[in-house]
Amino acid sequence: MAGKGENGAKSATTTAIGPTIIIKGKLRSDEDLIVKGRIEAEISSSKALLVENSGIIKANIRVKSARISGVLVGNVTAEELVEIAPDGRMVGDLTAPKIIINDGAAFRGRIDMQNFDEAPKAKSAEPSAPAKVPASGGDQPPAAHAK
Amino acid sequence: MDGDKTATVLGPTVEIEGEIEGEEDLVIQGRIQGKIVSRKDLTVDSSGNVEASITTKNLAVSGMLVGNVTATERVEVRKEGKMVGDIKAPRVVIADGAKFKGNIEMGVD
Repeated sequence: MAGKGENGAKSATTTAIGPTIIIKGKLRSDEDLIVKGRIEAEISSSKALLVENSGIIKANIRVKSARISGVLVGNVTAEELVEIAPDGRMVGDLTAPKIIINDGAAFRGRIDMQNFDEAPKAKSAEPSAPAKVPASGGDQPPAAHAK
Repeated sequence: MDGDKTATVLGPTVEIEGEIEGEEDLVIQGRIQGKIVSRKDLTVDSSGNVEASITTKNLAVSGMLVGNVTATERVEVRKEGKMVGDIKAPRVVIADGAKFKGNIEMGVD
């Protein structure tokens, strides 16, 4: 965030993972990700994730925002927004302050819009730890199990 | 369609630990640890940092690569490139200025 001024190109870059690519393991990034291939890797990104039509993700992901037009199996934690497009399919739990499920989308799982319990504006993102966010991670599982 | 033209560029802030497999050109500007299997061209850009065993068709290294490489066609360590590891390929180019440590096997029997 602070580096935006010193490196303008950094904020503009996007990584598109092509349709024939398969990634397994762990993926971390600070740029927008477009997935057209198959990822079986835990993703943590401080930017947006776009799962395109041909994209398949089987893993837990932690991002700023996500739009799913393809297939996603796994739990998603987003700082801002998760949107499942009309052609998107998803199985897993969603945690985000804003969640949109479009008409036609397929979804199975639990949804947790955190600001339900908190004041909507109380959520000021901590710039120091965008990737880990252990605070919110610690909040979810007890809440999820309680219900 | 655009099967020949597609390329995946893994940007400078992308870090992957694990395996990557692909049938399209791959350009690495970020950090990869693990294993890469490609049936096309693989490029490690100058900002790229790869620690992996690699199987590919063509490989060009402008960044840093640690690991063994098997290429079916050609491996090139460019002048800004640094590589530590063994190369097995029919054609190997090490440019003036490149740094390399390892074994090379061009299949001369």
